[in-house]
Amino acid sequence: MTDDIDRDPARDPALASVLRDLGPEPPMEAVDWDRLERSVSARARERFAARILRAPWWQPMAAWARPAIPLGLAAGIALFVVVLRSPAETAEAAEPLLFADQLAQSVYQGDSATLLQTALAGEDADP
Amino acid sequence: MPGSEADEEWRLVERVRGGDLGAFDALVRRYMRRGFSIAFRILGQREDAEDLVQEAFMAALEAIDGFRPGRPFGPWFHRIVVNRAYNARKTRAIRDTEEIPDAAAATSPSPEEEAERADLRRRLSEAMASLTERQRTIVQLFELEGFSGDEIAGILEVPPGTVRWDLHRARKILRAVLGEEEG
Repeated sequence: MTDDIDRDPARDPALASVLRDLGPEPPMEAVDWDRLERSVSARARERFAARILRAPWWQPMAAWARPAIPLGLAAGIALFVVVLRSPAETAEAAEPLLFADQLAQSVYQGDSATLLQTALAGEDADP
Repeated sequence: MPGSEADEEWRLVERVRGGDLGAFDALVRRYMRRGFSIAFRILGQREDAEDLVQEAFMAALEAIDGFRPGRPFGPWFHRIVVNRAYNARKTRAIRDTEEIPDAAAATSPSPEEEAERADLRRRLSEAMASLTERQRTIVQLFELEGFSGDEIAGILEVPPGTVRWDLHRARKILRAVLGEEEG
C-alpha cells in the first residue's frame, strides 16, 4: 500500500484498530458535558466582566466608527455638491469676475474712455 | 466546511467580541467534544483533558480579537488545544500512549493469544515512541479522529504536503510492525 502526498490517502481501518487497542479511547460517555459547559460558561462570564472593566474609554465610540466614517464622508460630498450648485452663490461669484475681466481688458488695450466707463459701471454694480 | 457555516461562526465570533456570552456558549457546545477527544489522545487522562479543554476555551476567548474573519473557528480552536496539550504533556509528565491499558490487555481469551497481543502492543508502542510528536499527532488525528490532511495542516500550522509526508512516514513505520508489505 502506498501513500500519495498530493492528496489524502485512504483510511486504514486495520491500523486504526491497532492504534485504538494501543491506548484507551476518549471516554466520551464518562464526561458530564453539561457540567463542563456550565463550568466554561461561568469562567467566561468572569472574563467578559474583566474585559468590560479593562476596555479603554474610547472603545464604545470606536464601535460606531465603522458606520460613521462612510456616512460622514457621504454627507460631506453631498454638502459640497449642494454648495457648488447653489444659484445665488454662482451669481455673486460671476459678477466681480466679469467686472475684473473688463477692467483688465481696458487697461491692456489702453482705452481710457472704456476704462472709465467700466470702472463707473462696476462701482454702480457694487451693493 | 460549507461557507454558510463559516459565516455563521464568524457572526458568533463577532457577537463574542461584542460581549455576548450566549454566542460563546454556542461555540463551546459545538467544539467541546472534539476538543476533549483531541486533548485525550495527546494526554491520555480524562481529568487532564477536561481541564485542558476549559483552559483552551479561556485562551480562545482571550485571543478572540485576533481571530481573522472568513476562517473557520474549528482549526483555530483545535490548534490551541493541541499546543496546550503538548505543553501540558511536557510539564506535567503525564503518562503517554506507551502504557498498556488494562481493558485492552484483558480481552485475550488464552495465554498464548494474550502473549502475542502483548508483544504486538509492545512493538507498536515502541514504534509510536520512535515517531516525532508531530507524526504521532498526525496519525491519531487522521486515523482515529477522522480529520483530513488539510484540516490537520490548519490545526498544526504546517503545509498540507508536510502533513501527508509525515503521515506516510508514520504509517510506513507502523505497518512494518504489523508485518504489512510496503509498496
